[in-house]
Amino acid sequence: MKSLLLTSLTLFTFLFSYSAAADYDRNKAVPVEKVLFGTVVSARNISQEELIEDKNSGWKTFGGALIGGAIGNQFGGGSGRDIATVLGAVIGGKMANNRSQGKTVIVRLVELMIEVDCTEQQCQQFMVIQDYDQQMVFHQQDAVRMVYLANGIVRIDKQF
Amino acid sequence: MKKLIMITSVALTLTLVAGCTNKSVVRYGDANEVETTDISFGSTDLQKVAGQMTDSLLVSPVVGTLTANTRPIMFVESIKNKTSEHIDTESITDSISTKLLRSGKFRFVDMGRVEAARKQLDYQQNSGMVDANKAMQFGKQVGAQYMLYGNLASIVKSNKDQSDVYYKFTLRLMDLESGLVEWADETEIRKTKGKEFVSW
Repeated sequence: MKSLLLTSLTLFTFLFSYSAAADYDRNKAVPVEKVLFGTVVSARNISQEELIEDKNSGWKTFGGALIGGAIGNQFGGGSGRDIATVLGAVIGGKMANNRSQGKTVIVRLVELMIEVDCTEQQCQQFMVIQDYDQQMVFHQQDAVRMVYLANGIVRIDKQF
Repeated sequence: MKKLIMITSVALTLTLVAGCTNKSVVRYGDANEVETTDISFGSTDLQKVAGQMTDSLLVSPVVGTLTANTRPIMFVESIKNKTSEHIDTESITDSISTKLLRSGKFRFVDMGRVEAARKQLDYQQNSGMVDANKAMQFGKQVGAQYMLYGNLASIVKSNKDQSDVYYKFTLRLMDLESGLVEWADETEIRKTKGKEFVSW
């Protein structure tokens, strides 16, 4: 009987526990290395075919890009978190899922060309590839922040 | 006795399960109540930062001299957000500029509404709908004398048991003609989140 009482109390505790997990939490306080401010020069979606084509050509298009958003964490484990590792894993992960379970993991990527605000030196442009976030869709001329997170990836956020 | 324990257990379970149904409840709360939902930048932080900065600016001897015989014209440049969080820094500057305006010591120009003002003046001047003698004229606006600008930065440290976030908000007032920074101040916020055995 006492165990029944204990079970009731355990159930009570369990029902009141709550966890919220989000892969793309822009409102989370995490360590930051630096933040650059700039403007979106261009923003476009990247197709799966385009990724495969670029991989086959030795990453001529996306080879110099920075990894943004959550894809660096999801697919680029370990020290080799370069663009080829991450994008290769995106393609590989999708194909593996297609073969083994008949499921497709949809990873929507966007390519953002960012012109960082001119300082005493010359203006610089960066290409950033990050996962598409429907809560924050980028357009040309948007004022943005390039947040360099401590885990070696960047994230593009709107300034306002 | 066993029967009593059993009845109590069942009653407790039923009460708790019934109490956990998904029922949305809307309530009004105190907008100034301390908010500790999570460790990230929240409404209490915004109010604290805006309140402290405004008070500091208004009691500053330098600003007292500037506002002794006149109401200087200011414009607020954006606050540079150097944290990982997507914080609406315009809300901070809105709160600060509103408090300063209400103090009666400053006047503001709103650079975010220049295009809307231009459209309205254009309508008054060129649409033919407004009496030309009463239409507002182009070229009569007054330029800002001072610029208010600042930074919001954070340092975050965490381990499996505890998270600590430190915010530093810096605000400066620059004389646009001379380029001199006439006033500056900073405020700090430290928030810590740790595990507690019982927490509700």
